[in-house]
Amino acid sequence: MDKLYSIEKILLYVGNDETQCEEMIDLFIQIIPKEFNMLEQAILDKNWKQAYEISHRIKPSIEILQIKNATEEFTELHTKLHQQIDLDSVPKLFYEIFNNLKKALTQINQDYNK
Amino acid sequence: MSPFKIFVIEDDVFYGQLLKRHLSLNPDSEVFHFETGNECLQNMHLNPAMISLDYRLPDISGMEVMKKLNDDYSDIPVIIVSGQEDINTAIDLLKTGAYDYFVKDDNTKDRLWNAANKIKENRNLKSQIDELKSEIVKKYEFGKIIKGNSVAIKQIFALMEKAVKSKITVSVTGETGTGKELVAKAIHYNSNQRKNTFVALNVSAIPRELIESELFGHEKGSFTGANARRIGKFELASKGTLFLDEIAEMDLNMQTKLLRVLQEREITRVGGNSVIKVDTRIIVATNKNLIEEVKKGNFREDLYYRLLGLPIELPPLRVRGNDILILAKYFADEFCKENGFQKKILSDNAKDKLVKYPYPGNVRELRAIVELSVVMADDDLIEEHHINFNSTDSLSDFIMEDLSLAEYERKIIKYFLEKNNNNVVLTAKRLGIGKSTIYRLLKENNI
Repeated sequence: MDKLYSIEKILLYVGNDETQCEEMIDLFIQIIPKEFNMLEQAILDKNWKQAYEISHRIKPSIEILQIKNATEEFTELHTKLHQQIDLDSVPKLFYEIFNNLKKALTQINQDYNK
Repeated sequence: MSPFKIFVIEDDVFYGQLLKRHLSLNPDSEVFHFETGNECLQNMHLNPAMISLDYRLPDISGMEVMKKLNDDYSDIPVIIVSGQEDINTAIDLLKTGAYDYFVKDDNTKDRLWNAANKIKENRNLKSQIDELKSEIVKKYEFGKIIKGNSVAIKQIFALMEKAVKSKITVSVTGETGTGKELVAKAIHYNSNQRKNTFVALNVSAIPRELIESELFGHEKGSFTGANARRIGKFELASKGTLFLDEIAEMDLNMQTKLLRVLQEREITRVGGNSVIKVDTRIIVATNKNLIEEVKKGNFREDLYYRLLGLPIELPPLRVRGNDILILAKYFADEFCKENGFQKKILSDNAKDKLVKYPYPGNVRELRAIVELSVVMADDDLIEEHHINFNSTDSLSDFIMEDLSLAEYERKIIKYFLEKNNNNVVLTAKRLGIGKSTIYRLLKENNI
């Protein structure tokens, strides 16, 4: 199965320390799904300001893990929320990203026996 | 050395932790991660050396945090790290006092790493400078810089104490070698301006055509050879002290310009248009009698009164009595220490010889005499014959012998007899006395 994420950047940040790398992955698993749930709620409420703020906050984390079919898409989502353009397409785009994130999280959990 | 504390203010917990772990790879660094602006402000007692600040925070904006930090911690470098790519925001933040602005991308961690190293290097340099400055301040404590306990020197200390309490202009006068520049430095390093620069300029050492540029600076291209902008002494000494030595040598045209600067407290660089405010304490010195120079028309009267301020007239060494021996011991000890010699002391005869000399070159001359005597003395005792005076003033040499009137009389007659090949008639005529007086003196004194 294709790798749906990459730890390459995390290793660069932590000086190739695998223990620290695993700790950071634990933190990602803990935090990001919660943030996505909050983002989902904001989008469903059409609270675009809050949706933008959440997307802005977690964008660097998404970029670090390089989630397949989610990283570039998340940048697109962030831009639409920032510029308040094409907002009708935001829910569909969000769920595509969320599904891909879930797939990647499943793979991470398997890889690290979580 | 205490750890280099870094605050990472980042509301993306994952990214904030990554930055923290990355910057912690440097063993000299201690990194703290906070998620809000208020947490940062509440923890400032930890005394961070650098702050990495996310622009968008959940409680208060990066701009607000910056402004609050500027009020109380303006010396702590704050680097804004943001996903916000609006150039105007970046400019505003830099204007507010941010050290730098990084957009969040793959290079952010390296940029922060490099910035931390640069800030650490600057901090080390600053602490070295502070250490050196405090050493200079200690070096220029009144009692250390000016030795002596004569009444004359105690009066000088009292005036210097008054001078350091305000930014009043001080005019120091005194014969050559009395320590005018030392007094100026001691006033500066004991005053509230001591953390800023002391700049000394010997007016007589600068060619007349260059003095204006030297004092006020110049703009690029303002005259032939002005290849770049140059900051003048007034600006260099901003909030510090400008010491103008040999002020009496300043030409009248320049005196007019200096007077204007002292009145207006602003300068314009040569060839420039912008007016620059200056807040510089002025100390001037001269070994000339300035009021005499005013009478002769060599010095502007209005400038004289402007510069007079608190006058300090340094006494010549010859009227400072026992200070000569205090200084001589100090110079001997210093010279021995600097050159790795065993301590040498002055014999009673050597001391006697030193106190009788009139020192036309004052303290500077005494120092040279003592240092030479240390070199000439083979063991740890400096004898009379090790003391050599180099004065060009033969009258001084003559008077310093400290003889009685009869002894001086005998010496004078002996000198002129030798000069006139023992011709008593010629000698009597030269000295305006009778032959019989000379014969009597020769008999009395066994010449």
